[in-house]
Amino acid sequence: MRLLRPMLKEEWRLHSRLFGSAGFGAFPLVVFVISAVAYFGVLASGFSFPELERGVQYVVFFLGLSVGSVGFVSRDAVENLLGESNLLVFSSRTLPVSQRRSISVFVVKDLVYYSFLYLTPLVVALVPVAFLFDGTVTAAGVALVWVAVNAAFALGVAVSFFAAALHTRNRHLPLAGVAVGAAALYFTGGALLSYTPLGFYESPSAVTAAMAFAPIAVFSVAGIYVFDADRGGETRSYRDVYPNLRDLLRGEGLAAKMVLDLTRSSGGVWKIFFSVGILFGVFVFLVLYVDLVANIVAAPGLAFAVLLAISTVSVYHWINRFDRMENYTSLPVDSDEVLRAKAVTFAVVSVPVAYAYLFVGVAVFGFGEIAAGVVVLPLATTYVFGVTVYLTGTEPNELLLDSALFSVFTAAIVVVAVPLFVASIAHLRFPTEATYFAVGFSAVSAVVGYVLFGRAKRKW
Amino acid sequence: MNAVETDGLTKKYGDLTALDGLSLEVEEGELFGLLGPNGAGKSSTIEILTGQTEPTSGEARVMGVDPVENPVEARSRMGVLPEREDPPSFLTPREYFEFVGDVRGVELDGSVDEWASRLGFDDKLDSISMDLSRGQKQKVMFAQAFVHEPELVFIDEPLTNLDPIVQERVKKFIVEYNHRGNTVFLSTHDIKVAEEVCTRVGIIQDGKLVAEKDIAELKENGEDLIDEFMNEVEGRA
Repeated sequence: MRLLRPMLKEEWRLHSRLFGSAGFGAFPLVVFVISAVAYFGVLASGFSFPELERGVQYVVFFLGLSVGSVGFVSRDAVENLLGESNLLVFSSRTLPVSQRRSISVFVVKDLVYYSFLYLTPLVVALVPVAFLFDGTVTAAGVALVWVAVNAAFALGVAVSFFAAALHTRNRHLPLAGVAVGAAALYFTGGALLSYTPLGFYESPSAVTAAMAFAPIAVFSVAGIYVFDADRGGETRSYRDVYPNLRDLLRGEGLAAKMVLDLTRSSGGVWKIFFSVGILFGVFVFLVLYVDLVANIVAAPGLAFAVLLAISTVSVYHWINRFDRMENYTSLPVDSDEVLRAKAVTFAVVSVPVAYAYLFVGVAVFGFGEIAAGVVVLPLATTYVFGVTVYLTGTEPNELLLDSALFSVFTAAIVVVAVPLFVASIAHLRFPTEATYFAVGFSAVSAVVGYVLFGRAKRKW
Repeated sequence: MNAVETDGLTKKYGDLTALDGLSLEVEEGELFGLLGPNGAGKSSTIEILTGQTEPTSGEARVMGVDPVENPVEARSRMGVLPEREDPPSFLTPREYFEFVGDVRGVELDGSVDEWASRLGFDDKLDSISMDLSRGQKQKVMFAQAFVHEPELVFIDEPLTNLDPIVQERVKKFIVEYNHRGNTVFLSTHDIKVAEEVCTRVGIIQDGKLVAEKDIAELKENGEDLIDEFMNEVEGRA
């Protein structure tokens, strides 16, 4: 507690200073409202309430995977990702505290904040929707879902942190771990899920609790002990590729710098695949285990393209984590040129990665109806990029924690995403019309995104 | 002609007044030192003059250009060594200089190796900047301020983190660069360094210019800059 309490206080002050106490404190309320509306839509689409509760657990598990993946960029995180604002995490430099302990407490602090900011409002939002659709809500039921959701998140964090810890020992080990996990899931026919918080949710008892929570403890403790914090102390050298890359990007020197920042920082290009792949994982899971295709979405290729477009926000996050406006204060460069270079970098990184997932989805999982998805993907991505840049400039990582801004951002994304999802559902009865609508609507969205990007250059 | 002019420059951050009507002039060809205690307003002055931030009120001109209205044009005519800036983390120094050359529209070719050799980071040219020591990063940033040979250079605490041998080389270079007719605007806490290299200094306190001293005159009169500085600053504190 001696470290945890000041870290919690530090985190609060860091964000409340940026957005005001009310702005940051209201964030859970925004998550609550957005979740409630989304749940309403999901249930109205025909899903049952238990399916919704399971779906929330899947989603937060993948969110946990995403959060824990910070361990993959551990070395560069210290200077570039966490930044000098998270001073207490560096206590081991000056105080008799081990680095292992300070990092562990830092992760616990993050779990507490994620529970407060996202997970608790996600669970509480189930209550009003349950009244409307199910009619039975009990305190014990809500508590059960709360525990399961928080545990699912913690499991996600623990698993990806363990993978990152393996990566510090041997970069191929995480892939082996993923292969073992996927094989176990496949050959046990999902029975492995009994050893997750989902098993506890399905059949709550002391035994299932022990079975569900033990893996969290095992992965966490193993991760902390396997993690090699000293890895990578050597100086990294590279041959000079800047001129070739600049020429490849048609003379865009700033964009060449940004691409090098992205690909040379810890985690390399894989961190991009991982962050975009989180939604891919959710979607595949829903298709395989919730039978999404059979029940609801007639054109999953199209729905998946929209999801991928939304997930490219994470690419813009990564671009800005390692490229800061301060890099240009001594040079004759203005913010217009920097934003333009970010757009080029975003395009050359996000579009190929998103297409790769789209084709994997179609080829391996048979998402189908790819033609509309192929066209919609870049158009919807242009819209998402324009909105993100217009609202957050070059600081999406920080500004999207502001309640008001996050609400506007979510609304802007929903306005375009929902009609496209509806088109993917309507595709069953009106295939031609739905395809034309999706392509036309996303084309208009792309124009809006382009205009917003132009305005962003003036705004920032 | 003046290389740098400010008139009534004021900069406020909320309730804090960093600069309070600062007016100063630096002629072309001078090696001017801006001295002051912590929080006196030195970095704010440089940030405004290099177009990194806007003043609350007042005017500034650098080589005849308004850095507030035309920050990019102003920075294209000068070199800047900021106090707290590192080279981009994941570019090697060699790539960073190519990038600087691209942005400034100049061919650097051999001068990169020359600079690396002069400051002693030639064995680090292909290591990513993030992995360099603080001193090596400072050397790279110092070199990027001069590598295109600008007529005016702003350097903020140039000797921080450098070892004594490189400090001597850097001081010698700054003086030689000034002798070639270029203007150098140096901001520093280090009064001994200012006395050693500058032709004239301005002392700033609480955002105001409280004194200007000609170094040659001081030396002629057998006066010590540190005594003058302490009198000006402590006498007003």
